[in-house]
Amino acid sequence: MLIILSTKYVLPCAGYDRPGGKVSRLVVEHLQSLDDSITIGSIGALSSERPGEIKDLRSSKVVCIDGCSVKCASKLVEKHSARDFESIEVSVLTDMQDSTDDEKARTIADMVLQLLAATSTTVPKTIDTEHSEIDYMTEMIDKFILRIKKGLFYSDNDFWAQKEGGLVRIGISDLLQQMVSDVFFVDLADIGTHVEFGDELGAFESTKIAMEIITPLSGTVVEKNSILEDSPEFVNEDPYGKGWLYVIRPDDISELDLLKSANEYFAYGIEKAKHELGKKVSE
Amino acid sequence: MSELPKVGIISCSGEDCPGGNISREATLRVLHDLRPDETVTICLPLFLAGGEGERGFAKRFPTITVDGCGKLCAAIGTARFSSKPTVEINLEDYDDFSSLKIEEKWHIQESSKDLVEKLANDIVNHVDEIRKISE
Amino acid sequence: MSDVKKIVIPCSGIGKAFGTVAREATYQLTETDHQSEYKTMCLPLLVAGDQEAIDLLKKSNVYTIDGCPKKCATLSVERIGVNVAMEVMVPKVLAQNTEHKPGSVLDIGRNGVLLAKDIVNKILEEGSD
Repeated sequence: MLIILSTKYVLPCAGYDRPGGKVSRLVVEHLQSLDDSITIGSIGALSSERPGEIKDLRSSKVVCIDGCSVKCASKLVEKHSARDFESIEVSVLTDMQDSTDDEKARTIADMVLQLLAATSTTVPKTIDTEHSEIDYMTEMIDKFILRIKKGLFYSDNDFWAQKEGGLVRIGISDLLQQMVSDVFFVDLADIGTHVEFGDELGAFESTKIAMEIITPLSGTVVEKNSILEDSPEFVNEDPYGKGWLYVIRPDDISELDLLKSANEYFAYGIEKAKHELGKKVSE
Repeated sequence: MSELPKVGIISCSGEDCPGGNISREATLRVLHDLRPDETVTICLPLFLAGGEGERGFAKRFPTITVDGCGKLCAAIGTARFSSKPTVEINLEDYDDFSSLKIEEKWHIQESSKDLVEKLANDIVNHVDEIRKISE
Repeated sequence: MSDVKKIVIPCSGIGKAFGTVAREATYQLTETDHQSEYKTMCLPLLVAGDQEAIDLLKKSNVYTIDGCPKKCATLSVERIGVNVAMEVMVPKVLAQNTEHKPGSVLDIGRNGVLLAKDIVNKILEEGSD
């Protein structure tokens, strides 16, 4: 799927207490006089996750103007968009130390326009369809990219469930596969096995842990992903796709209401990821 | 902003030369023992192969590259695929570099443990300095 | 090194124990009983475009040892236009030898060394000229 980002979005620093913030505001004034098609973002609107602001951000080419090394604007964009973006940090432009604020602002405005023009080349920006923002909610925690697939249900044990007509497919969430690291062995239960909500339904082993598969619903196994026995790495590579575990005929499909929605799991998953991902080995 | 940024540490792989092995050992010491909560492991091979998490982190957060020789694979790779590292360490700049033995390219010998510690402490000092500047 | 025909490239990932296992396997191949036959190179040096290294690689049989499905060694070698004669995935070797589960990236332990040995045996048995 090809997405051409034709709109332009500039997010300036809002730091009233720093010189860089003042220059950022002057840059915006210059930009507005030079190109009225640029959307000027709002730190406040983005922080409060105003839907229109999020939509503008995610559908545009983005340049941030950071007033200082704290980089509030850049961090906010990272939080709300998985795409690459450009940024200019006012305080590192050491060759402009002797310039007035207005001179700095004009120079930076030109730099912003160049960056926006560079990203508006005839080569369109492509989005990986496997992980498009339409299908996934994403969050970066340090170097880890957490992906929560929309439209699924999630258990507190970090397994997902997807309705497929009258059946339910289950698997391991991206959070769980990142936490356990490389899976090298999967032991699946037999077709025909009946389980109750929360029962063990097979097991897997990774470099970090051996753990049971905990079913997020009651029912009978009608299909299992046998390919995982030869290719357990699919659990890590594609936890929402090739790495699925079972298809279950549920006893009562309304049991899925006991699980978290994708949005609920997103908030829960982020907090859990902050504590669990990137844990170091201690001697 | 009350949370200080974590610092990514990128070490050269360290095959086929003792300096690389020293760099790797010192980096692991910092990542897991000395500053586990303040640092992020950036896997250089994954970074070079296109790891979006690694490259994304290095673009946005400060990084320290640790190279075992003057070829500076980690420093050059980081700058090329992400951003210029905040600090570039080259083991060749250390006095002890010339006395490293060829046997040490795979397993650290007793004679180099002091160098590993020295390098690890230098990395730690850089981590602390970077985070202090961000306050 | 002009008559060397077999070059082993480990991923050497520093984030996981398997990267250290890949390194250990490379050490066992290139520094002990088989050192006359197998050599190694730094993966980042290849990616950095060291032409001498790349030219040598193109004239050799290349064996990659990857610590995880991201296959950094294999992908990086292929990207510079070199064919890989044999790819070894450490997790797959572990799946066939589950008793050799390694320790941590800091210390793979005795089992990790044995897993490296399993990798070496696989290359010796299945790798061909």
